[in-house]
This record gives sequence, structure tokens and C-alpha cells, in this order.
Amino acid sequence: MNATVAPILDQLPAETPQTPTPELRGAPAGNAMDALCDEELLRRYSDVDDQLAFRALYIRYRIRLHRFIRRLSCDSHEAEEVFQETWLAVIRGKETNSPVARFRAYVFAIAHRRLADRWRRRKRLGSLQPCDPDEVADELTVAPDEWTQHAQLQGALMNALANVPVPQREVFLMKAEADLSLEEIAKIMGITHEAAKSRLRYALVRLRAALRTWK
Amino acid sequence: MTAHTDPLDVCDYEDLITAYRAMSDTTDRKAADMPSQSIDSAILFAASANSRRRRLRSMRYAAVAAAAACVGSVALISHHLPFTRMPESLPQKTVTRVDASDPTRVRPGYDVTNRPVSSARTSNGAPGLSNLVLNAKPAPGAEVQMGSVVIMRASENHAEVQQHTGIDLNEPGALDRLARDNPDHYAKIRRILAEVDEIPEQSVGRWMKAQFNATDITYSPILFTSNPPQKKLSFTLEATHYEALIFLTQDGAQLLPSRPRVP
Repeated sequence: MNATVAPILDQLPAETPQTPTPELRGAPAGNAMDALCDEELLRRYSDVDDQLAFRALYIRYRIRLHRFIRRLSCDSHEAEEVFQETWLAVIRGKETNSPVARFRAYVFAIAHRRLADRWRRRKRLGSLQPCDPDEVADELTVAPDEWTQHAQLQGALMNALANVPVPQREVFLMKAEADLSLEEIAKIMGITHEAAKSRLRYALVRLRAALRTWK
Repeated sequence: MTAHTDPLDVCDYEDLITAYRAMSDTTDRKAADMPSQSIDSAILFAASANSRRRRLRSMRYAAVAAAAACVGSVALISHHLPFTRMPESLPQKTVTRVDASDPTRVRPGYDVTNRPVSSARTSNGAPGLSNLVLNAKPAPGAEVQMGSVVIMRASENHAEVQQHTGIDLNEPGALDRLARDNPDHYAKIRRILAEVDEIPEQSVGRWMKAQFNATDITYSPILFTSNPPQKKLSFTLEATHYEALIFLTQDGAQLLPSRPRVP
């Protein structure tokens, strides 16, 4: 592991389901629901219509899910529509009483299907391009903790991400936003494990190549 | 550079993902990525409203089941008693998805407080969720009434049942009968099926009203995790109510194969 990366990883807060994210306006701090796991919250909402449980679940995932959808949508309006449809699906889905192994994968899978519906209508999926080994850039010399100090670097990363083809971009975002495993990503997207790994590798190569100037 | 059997097994890419997350968690970026307040409110409202509808529907189903059991018991007793007239049939009520005189129904185009829903976007540019929430499920009362009519009039012929519940376009031969009996409606419905998947979901009602003079329109997904996605479409042309379960494909909306009707 890169010597400059390891200490940074130790310092960054781990994004676990127990991490409270009370950005929702008016949300009470220190809610007891924050200590429960996603599946327990979903069970409470499904079985006993616990609105606080749904609220806690919503607060926990709303930003990441919205960001994931926004990065894969053509505009903010489409992103908001898909976001609403996804949460409505979660709300309606509780009536089926089907077991949910992992809520995080479940909700991002719904978002993926909603986006796929949109793409299917517009036929916006780009074709896969072969990975060029020569495009692999050297390791980034700017430490991650310094990224936040470089607004231009943030913009460069976003631009580079926007230029990654949608299939690869989606895999990267599922990894970065939802922290899903490659197995889960492959299952959600209906592809093989190797295909998911290949898409993630391609996205990373493209991002590194685009950020080469920041060495 | 150390040789690795699988680069993705090593943290060569962790710095990029870590940097992306760190950048996304900055105050400015997070504010830009946050959904609007109106969307937050609408989704939380939908969650609570769905729970209320579930409880109300459960209560009504229980009441209908009890009433059906009573009817069945009375019929059984009357059958065995000589010279006994059948009790007067229960009040027949025409099933309509919209009943303007009933304040408990949520009318299309109106919110739960019977205020007109504005079709304009909210101030922050986000589309209003009200139509989405309203159209996501038909009025629960209508469902129950349809069910009760079928139960109480189970001995009636198929045509009378259809008259009360609308024409089910998924029925085998329904489109052929429609083409023969009402070519005008048939042409409109074919065009609706061909074009509905190109229309944004929240605009389907306005589009059908403007293009086909349809009323009493409901368009909603019924299985959110299905692939391809399935939707329920119902509408009224002139005095005839139609219902259809469709799924969206690359070739447009297709009618779902009909399930055998339970006698």
C-alpha cells in the first residue's frame, strides 16, 4: 500500500451504517434508531409501520443514493425523478414481505433498474472500449487529504468521471458510494464477476489517466 | 512497481476511491448533492401515507370478508328452507374509480386535501411528487368495491362483471372484440400502447386527456423490482372504462398475458 495513503485511511472516518448523518432538516440528534442496522430498520418499517425507522433509513442513504443517481443521469430533473421512484419502490416493496439480505445492495439495485429503464428508452449506453495498458498513469502524488484543498482538482475528478462510459462509471460509483463488493455489483448489474472487475479497472485507469496532469 | 496477480485485490485504487469520497464529503459538494427539501418531505409523506392506506385497506378487506360470509350463510340457510325468498340483494353500486361526491376518495389531479395539484415544478426546479404519489396506487376504496362486486355477483355472467369492473384489455380476445365493436376506441388504445412509454410518467395523464379525451386516468408501476418494468394503466374513453397491465420493452408497451380469472 502506498505509504502516503495508509495513514490517511486511518484518519478518515469509516462510513458504517452506525454513523449518524442527521443532515435532514429537523432530524433529532442522537436518535436511538441510528444504532440499528439497515435490515433491522427495514424490518421495523415493514412489520410495524415504524415511521421513525424509515426516516432513519432515509437519512442514512439519501445523500449517497442521490449522488449516485445524479452522477449517472443526464440532468438534475431526471436524477430527482429516479430518486423519488427508488424510494417509492422501497416503500411499496415492504408489502411483498420478501426478505432483503442487505438493504444497501437492495436500494442501489432498485436505483440501477430505474436508471436502466431510462437508458433503455434513450439508448444512451456507450460501447465498451478496450483498456489500454499504456494509459495507466503513475500513482497519484497528491495525497487524498489534500484533495479537498484543491477545488480545481475536485472539478477535474468530476469531469474525468463524467467522461467515463456509463457502465464503467456505474461500477465505480457503486464501489465508491455504496461500498458494495464486486460480487454484489455483478449481481445487481446482471454481469459476471470478471466483467464487473474489468469495468472497475477500466474506470480507474481512465480516471488516473485524466488526472495525470496533477502529478 | 511490485507485480500483482490481480491489481484490484491490492489497494492501488483505494487512493482514488478515498479521494472521491473525501471530496464528496466537503461541505460545498455535499450541499450540491443533497436532494431538495420538497423531495425529502414528499418521500417521508409517501411512507406514512402508504402505511395509513395499508391499515385502512386491511380493515375494509376484513369487513368485506365478513359481509361475504354473512351473505353465503344466508344463502345456504335459504336454500334448505322451503318457500323462502332470497334476501334482497345488497345495494348495487356502480364501481367508479372517481366518485366526486365521496370526500374520502383521492381524485386524480388533486392531493389528499382535495386541493388541485399544480403541474408546475417546485421552486427549486424539482418535479412535484404529488402526482407520482397519487398515481402510484388507485383509490383503495375502488379496489375493495370491485372485489366486493365480484364476490357478491359471482354467479352473474362475465359480461355483467366486466360492465361493473371495466374492460380488461389483458383478457384473451379483448382487443379483437374491441376492434369489432368499437373501432374508434380500438385505434386510440393501440396508439396509447405504442406511445405511452415515450411519455414521462407524470405527464401521461395530461397527454391522454389532451390527445384522446380520456378521463379517470391511472398510470402506475405495480412491481418495482421487476424486469422488464410492469405498469398498470386504466382510463375511461367516453363512458367505457379500460384497464391494462403492461410491461415496457424496446418495442414499446406490451400487454401482459392475462391470468385465468378466478370463478
